[in-house]
Amino acid sequence: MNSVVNLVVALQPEARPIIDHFSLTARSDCEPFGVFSGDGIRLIVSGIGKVASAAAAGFLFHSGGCLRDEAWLNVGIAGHADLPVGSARLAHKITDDSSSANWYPPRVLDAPCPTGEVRCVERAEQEFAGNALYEMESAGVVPTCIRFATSELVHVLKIVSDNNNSPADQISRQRIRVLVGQQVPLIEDLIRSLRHLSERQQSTKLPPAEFTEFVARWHFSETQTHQLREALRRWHVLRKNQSILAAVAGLSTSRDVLRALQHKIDGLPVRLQNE
Amino acid sequence: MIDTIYVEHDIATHPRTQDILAQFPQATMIKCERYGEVFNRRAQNFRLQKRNPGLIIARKHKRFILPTPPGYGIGGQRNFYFSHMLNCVYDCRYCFLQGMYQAAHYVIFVNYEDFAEALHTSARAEPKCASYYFSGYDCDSLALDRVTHFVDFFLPVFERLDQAWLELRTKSVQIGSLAQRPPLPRVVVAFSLSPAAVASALDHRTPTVERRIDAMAQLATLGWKIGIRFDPLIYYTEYQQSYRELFDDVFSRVPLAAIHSVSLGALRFPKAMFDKIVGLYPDERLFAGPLRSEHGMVSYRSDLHDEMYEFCRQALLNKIAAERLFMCESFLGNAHPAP
Repeated sequence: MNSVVNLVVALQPEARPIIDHFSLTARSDCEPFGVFSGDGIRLIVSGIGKVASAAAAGFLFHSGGCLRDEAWLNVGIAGHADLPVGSARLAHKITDDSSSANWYPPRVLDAPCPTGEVRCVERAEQEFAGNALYEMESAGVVPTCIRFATSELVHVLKIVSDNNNSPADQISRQRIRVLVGQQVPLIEDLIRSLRHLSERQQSTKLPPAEFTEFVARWHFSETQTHQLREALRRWHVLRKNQSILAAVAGLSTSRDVLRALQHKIDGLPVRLQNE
Repeated sequence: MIDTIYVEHDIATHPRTQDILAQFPQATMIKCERYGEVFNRRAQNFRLQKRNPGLIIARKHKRFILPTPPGYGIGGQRNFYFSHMLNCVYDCRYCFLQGMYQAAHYVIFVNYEDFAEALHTSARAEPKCASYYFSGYDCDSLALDRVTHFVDFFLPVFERLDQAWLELRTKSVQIGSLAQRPPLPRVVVAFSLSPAAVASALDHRTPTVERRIDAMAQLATLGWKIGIRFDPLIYYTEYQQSYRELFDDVFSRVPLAAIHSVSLGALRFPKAMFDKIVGLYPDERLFAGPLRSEHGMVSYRSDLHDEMYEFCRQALLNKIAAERLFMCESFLGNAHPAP
């Protein structure tokens, strides 16, 4: 399994170092947004603000085939009172400034990155209160993406672009490219960690081994399909990688197949560990 | 071990909160409004969170003491449970908590005084009748005791309640706070045990059965009443020999006089909960075993269940008196004395 990691990025200069590093190629079939893909990554350039970022995330989910439990990472620049420009923080709390709604991405990633609080605002701030990172997309990305994936797979990475000593009006497109570019190794680590989690999660949803062969060979009603799935799951857990198809291949009806599977499983010795 | 602590605003300055935070100086502290913002929201995955659960410090507002299901108990008529914590540091594959909650974070309710008041009110409602209070239903009673100081607070509360019994249910060997105080006559320290082979396969992150029995023996020597919970019974081909050896081991090391009660518990889940747990762990052998769904509950095939229960019941009756043996047949206990 090779799970895709989805990146939602507001601006082209934020996206460019990532596109270059992973050699992503532009997709021509995604007109409303700039979408790039390759190397198990999909990246969408959303535009500024939480509405745009939510729309982009939804678009990317749909254009990617509506696959659940892929990983999602929002990458972008942010302001902070006193964190050094260029430093990065993974969000452990996101607050929507306009609604006061909060989200708390679970800290389950193996990533060498400090975490911080992110405040998502409607308009760019010039002064930063408290210890939060200020930005404009996370409160659009997170509530949208946790409809597509469990929240352990939805994260936000912010890179400080301005602080009280280095105001936002000093930020150029080139400067943004440099700041994000410096954090590409971290982004790569996060993508690796997210992909690992996502694959692990998706693997729990896969049909059991031989399921496809069974449904191709016999006709199962919906209830029987459920029973088949369960029987094959049990068989392949108890008899690792041992085919059962040949043992029932001569049977003519799905009912006979299910009965034979049940009989085979019931006849297995019950062990605590794999032999 | 804990690198993230969520703290409700409301309880941030509570002395118990401050005490817990001081024990984890390296942890990141994150303020939240209510613990429900972090715990058990939709789109959370217990198994993924179990990789690195956080601690949530919260205030409980209501429903401090709840009645157990009818029939649940170890000999008393009035039975209740209370939970100063939600979730467990251990990761036992048969645990219902993994199907009960979406989140694996540990929640600690630090307003113990409100629990104490509710206990007083509950116990005094029927002052002439013994009341049994079970902790360790939504958590392990002792596993985080060094952090929560649960024992230090609640044992004196029960000491003052004439007719109130407390069961501490645990797989932990964190018995320091019990060992340091004189035993209380109406406190039962109940250990969950399985044969070593079962524990090795299914009781993840727990102390070994050997160490649990050591802890039981130590507390028994100090005069504490001991409960032994063979719960849930796990079926496998060699179960008879394993359980017989376990019974022999336990009853040779824990003095009979110290044993308050022994119970046998069934592996049972509501169907929806079972499906949820299997969804988390589809490759787990336990869930591929000889289980059947009947009347909305999943349990061992009745012939196996009956055979295992009868074997264990008979084996235990060779060790202890029938009035001290309880059979827990239902999902939440439904205990009754052994016939």
